Amino acid sequence: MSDQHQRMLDVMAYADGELDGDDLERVRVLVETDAEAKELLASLRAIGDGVRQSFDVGDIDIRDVVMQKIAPNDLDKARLRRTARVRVAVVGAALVALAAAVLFYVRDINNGTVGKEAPAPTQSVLASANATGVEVDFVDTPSAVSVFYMPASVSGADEEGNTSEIAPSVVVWVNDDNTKEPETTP
Amino acid sequence: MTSRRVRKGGVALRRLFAHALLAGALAVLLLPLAKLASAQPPPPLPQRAVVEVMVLHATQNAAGGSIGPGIGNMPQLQQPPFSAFNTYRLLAKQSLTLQKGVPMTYTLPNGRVLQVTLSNVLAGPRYEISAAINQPGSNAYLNLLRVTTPPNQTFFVAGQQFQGGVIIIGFTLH
Repeated sequence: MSDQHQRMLDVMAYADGELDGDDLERVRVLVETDAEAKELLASLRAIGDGVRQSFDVGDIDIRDVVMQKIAPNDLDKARLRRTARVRVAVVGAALVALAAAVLFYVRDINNGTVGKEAPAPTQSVLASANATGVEVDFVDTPSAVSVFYMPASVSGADEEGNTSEIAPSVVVWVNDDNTKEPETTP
Repeated sequence: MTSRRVRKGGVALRRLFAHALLAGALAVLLLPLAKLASAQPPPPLPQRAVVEVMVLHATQNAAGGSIGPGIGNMPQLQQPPFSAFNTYRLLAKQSLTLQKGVPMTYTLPNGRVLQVTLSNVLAGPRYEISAAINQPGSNAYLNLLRVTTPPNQTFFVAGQQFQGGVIIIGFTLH
């Protein structure tokens, strides 16, 4: 579409009162500064005045009459359908986003991480990860008692060079009558 | 008209943007509800456990030590205070199913009676266990021992005299 054609369309829209905002201001400046545009606007207004006087249509808005003749209901329906489609698409996208957000949040709550599941720890890992281990809360005995806390450690290598992790442990040693407490040096 | 079409396109875009903003706001408002729903208290822990009781006999053998069959891999025996002995023999092994608050008894090879009670199951889980070792009609040996232990970790009660050595009782909760 050429600039001249576009300008003509703009002036026609301006004459019909269809413009507003920046478009209105731009075309208003155009018809004030451009002689051809100004002449075209005057011609359009003269034609409109002539038509109104000839048919004595008074204040009837010709645009509305023409639009109704064309099939106003079809245009409105098409516009409504397009709007409805856009709304359905936006609401659908929002629901999908919402479902994804809830899904990720629930996974976060359940797993403590998002998007990546930690491998199931082995028993030895669980044991060493537990800083507290076994706790002796209370001992009641008439005999002498000693409590030995054995920290987690790694055992020496076996014949194949494999080592194993020793879980932390507790020994409650209760002397039996006059039994002496064992030597604790290895 | 082209300008009208452009203007309508702009309106449609603004409407689309407004809908997107509305949807985002809705998601932000509903997320705390999802948090609230997922923050419901966890189901109660089962108030039961299985305790594996292993009774060992530890002695010091000048001719050389050994660890008897059935004991399995128990590297704690190489550490103090168990390292004071070099020979270990499995006397008995028993699994007891514990219900919270219900004492279970087990007769040890030396005639004393071991009583084990599951006092509580805490989050983790961690088990609160009470144990007592006594002999009816005789002096008390262990009136009460209370420990809190995670599963699969063994704790020991040791020191009872028996056949020239001592009895070592290992407790492992499952």
